[in-house]
Amino acid sequence: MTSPRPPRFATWLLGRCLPGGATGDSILGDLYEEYIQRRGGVRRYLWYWRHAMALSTGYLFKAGSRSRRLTRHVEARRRFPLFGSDIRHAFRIWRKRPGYAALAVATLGLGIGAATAIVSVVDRALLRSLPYPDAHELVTVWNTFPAWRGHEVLDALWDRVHISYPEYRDWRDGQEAYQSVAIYSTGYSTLTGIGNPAVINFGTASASLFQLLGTKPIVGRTFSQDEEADGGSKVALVSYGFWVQRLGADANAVERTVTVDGESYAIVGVLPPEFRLRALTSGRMGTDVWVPAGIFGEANDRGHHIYEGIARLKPGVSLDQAAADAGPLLRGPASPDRMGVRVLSRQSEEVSSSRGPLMLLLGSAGLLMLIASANVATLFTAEATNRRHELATRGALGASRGRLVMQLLFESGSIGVLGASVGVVIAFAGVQALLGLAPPALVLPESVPVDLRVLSFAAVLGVTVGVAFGVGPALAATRGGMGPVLYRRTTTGDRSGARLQRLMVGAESALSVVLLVIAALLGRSLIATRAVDPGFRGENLVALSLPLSGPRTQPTQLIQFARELVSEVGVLPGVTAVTGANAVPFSRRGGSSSFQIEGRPVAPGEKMPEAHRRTVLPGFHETLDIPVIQGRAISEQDVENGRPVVVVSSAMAGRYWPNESPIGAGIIRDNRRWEVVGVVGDILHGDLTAEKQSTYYFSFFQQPPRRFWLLVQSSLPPGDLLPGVRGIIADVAPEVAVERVERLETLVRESTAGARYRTILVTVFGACSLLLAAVGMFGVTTRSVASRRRELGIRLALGAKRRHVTRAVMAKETRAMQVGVVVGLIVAAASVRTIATFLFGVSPWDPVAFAIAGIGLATVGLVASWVPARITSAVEPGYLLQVD
Amino acid sequence: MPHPVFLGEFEQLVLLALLKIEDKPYALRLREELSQLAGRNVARGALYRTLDRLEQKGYVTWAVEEAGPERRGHTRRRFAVTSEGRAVLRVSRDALMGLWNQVAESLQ
Repeated sequence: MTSPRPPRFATWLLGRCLPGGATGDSILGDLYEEYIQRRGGVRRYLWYWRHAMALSTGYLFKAGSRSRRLTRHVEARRRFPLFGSDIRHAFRIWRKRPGYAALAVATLGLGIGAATAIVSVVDRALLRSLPYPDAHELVTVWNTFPAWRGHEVLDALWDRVHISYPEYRDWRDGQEAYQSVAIYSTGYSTLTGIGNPAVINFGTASASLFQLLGTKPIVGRTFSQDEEADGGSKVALVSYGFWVQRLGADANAVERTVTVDGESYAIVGVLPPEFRLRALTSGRMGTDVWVPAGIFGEANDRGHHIYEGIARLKPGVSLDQAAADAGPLLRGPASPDRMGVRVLSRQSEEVSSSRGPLMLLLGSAGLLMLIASANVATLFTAEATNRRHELATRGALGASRGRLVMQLLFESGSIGVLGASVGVVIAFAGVQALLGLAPPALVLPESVPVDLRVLSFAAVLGVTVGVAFGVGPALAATRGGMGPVLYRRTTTGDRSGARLQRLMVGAESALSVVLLVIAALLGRSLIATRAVDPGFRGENLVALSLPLSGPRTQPTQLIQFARELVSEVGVLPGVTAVTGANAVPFSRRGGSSSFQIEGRPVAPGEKMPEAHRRTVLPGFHETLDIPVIQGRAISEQDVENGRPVVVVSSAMAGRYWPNESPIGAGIIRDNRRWEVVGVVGDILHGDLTAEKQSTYYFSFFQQPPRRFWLLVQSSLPPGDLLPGVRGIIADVAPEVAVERVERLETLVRESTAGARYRTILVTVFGACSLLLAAVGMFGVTTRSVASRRRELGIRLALGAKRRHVTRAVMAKETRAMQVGVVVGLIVAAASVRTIATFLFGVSPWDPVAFAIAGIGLATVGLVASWVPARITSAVEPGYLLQVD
Repeated sequence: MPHPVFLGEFEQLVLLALLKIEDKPYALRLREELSQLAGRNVARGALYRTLDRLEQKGYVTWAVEEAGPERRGHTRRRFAVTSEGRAVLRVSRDALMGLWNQVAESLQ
């Protein structure tokens, strides 16, 4: 067993600060010895950091320090002979004013923490290369069907069309721009023969895939090209996880077989644990069993587009050249305006779905960071101004202005370092929260370690902010002669400090308003999305996905299975309705198909009409409460040998029979005529923000599907209902495994999980910014009334009303904030277009969202300013005049 | 004859603990002993700095010992009290005992 490694950066830092030779070395050893005796995990890691930091600072600030670097530094730089004393002085100041130091550190920590957490995730998710050798050479290849653009159902798919096996074969054999090309396809299937039937992730891949990705099996071999396509072999590669969990890590696995969907495959190899190819369309990872491509009879079907293409470019070949090379080969006999090819970097394709949301979060975190910086700057200014007397005294005793500025910079810089340390802790927790709360649709890395890159980022951010925002106040506080300060007269330094503070409060307010506008827009958009009627009612409905295989897919067997299941489940206690379909709404399953309308021939080259196709059991529309608008829904009378019928959705009726009733019209599909017998209400299939699209429904008995979802309506909780249903499935069809169990309500709600995630995070950032703006406003007013005590005292003594004094103070101090709010609203109006893709049901310039943000911030700012103003004006004027 | 200096309380504790443990302890062992003697947790940094100071004054000496993977190859320093250290402890004890004896009654 290898012994654990202590945090590298902490050890490095400690090594720099400790004395050289055996003394320093033995201290490192002592710390390590205790480190390995402690119990593992984050606590041990933090323990080491804490003690390394304590020892480092102890040795760094020791009088007559023996620290090698510091000694050299002090000797070399005679200009700053009091470097150590500056830092000690800074520590003393913090001890004297812990409130100021804590507030500054907490503010900065919050900003740095949020920024660091998001940057860590973005770094891992978007910037790091994929875990394959020479990953920059990898590309994804798609077909495109330009004719699908603008089509009601197909528009979303037109530029990401899969590749068929014959297209791949032509591409592989004829290409010149690639080192290697491959295809794969993933889905789910039923595993039998090892324990109970179970649904597994099942994939097909060309033999070249594993060599292209540089994957070497840990046992056995990968596929060879002659095992692909017609006449190929029933061989399989299994994943490491499958090998361990299902095969007990059997060293002789290659002598065994696996049975998937009733077919038996000889295992030829086990893939290494790090092999985790992500399917781009489904986002699915972790395929359990791979078999060679093209062995299911699709090897000569040019229209069977099921594979994703991946390839490795030859060095120096551009994406355009690669597309030009692959285009004619993949297109085959089709014309270029019918079919095209897109070649994209694999890296950018894998992260394309998460880029937008992550960039939104990055932008929001950046804004929060800026707000925190502005806030810290107001704190620094207040602190520097408060200490003008001390600084003036030191100046009078001979300290140069440079020395005083340097001292203030040390203080602000060290606040920056402490803020960065707090930020790292917040970032650590923040990353866990970001990953933990992320919806499955957002592709994020499984873990994001807070590593040296991230720590350096936080440290650089902290020191930069500390020093950059400390310079202004330090210069302002030391400007002008020191004499007047000692005589307690207001000076230009005082005034410029106050100006700087107000400027910062204005900037903070503006940035905060921008963030609040975004949060309000996202929130209103989420509310609008949730309010959308999906067209059906999912209450008390549980859906079970039952993948079918082998003889069970034969129409007669499937129909018998469905009938038995429905009748037996229907009599379970608490069950009020049972039905079924090839797909249920919001399950991200189910597809579309093309058809022809009787009497309306499609001209050659013209796209056939296309609509979502659902195959349903009787009672489907009633159970989901989808209204029948004309005619009737699919019913018990639509049996196998009955008249072929179809029911269309309202959108489909309006689109294809705009001024007439479709009842009685004919649809041609599979060379049969299907009579339209009813029109039902529209439903949404997976996205509450989508338009309602054409859908047609066939009878399950007349078009038996391969996928089967059982829908059970019951007032019982699923936990009480499911054991009975599962028992019946096991009795009726022992080889069928339940793939998924979902509540329809949950499926609909989960479809907004991505929007909810974004909204929650941006709202949290917005709330933090509001809090920081309030703290800034409070600080500015407090400082202002403190410096105007004498004036306010005189005004009150001369008979001014308290509320007039309060109002006068507030009017002056909130002006910067008011200007900031207006500027913020203008900036927001100019920039919200960039987040328009995240909005639904609200305009980017939604006046309500702008009003919420503007009024919200203004109210909080006014209250934060009113409190100190009111407190001061409530004090006896005599007291105000005495105290100084 | 050692210079008549007095030791701080913690310095005395360190020297006494070093004498109490016979097998030339290293810092970790010493810290455990001190924590027991003092009845409280002893700050790591304070201990190292006190040891450095005592070494500079010539009261403590140390020898380097090579170590294995349990310390990632970092050396160990084994500390011992020098004859000057013993002498200054004696002076401290005598001076303090004298004072204690003189105030013994008023403390009754």
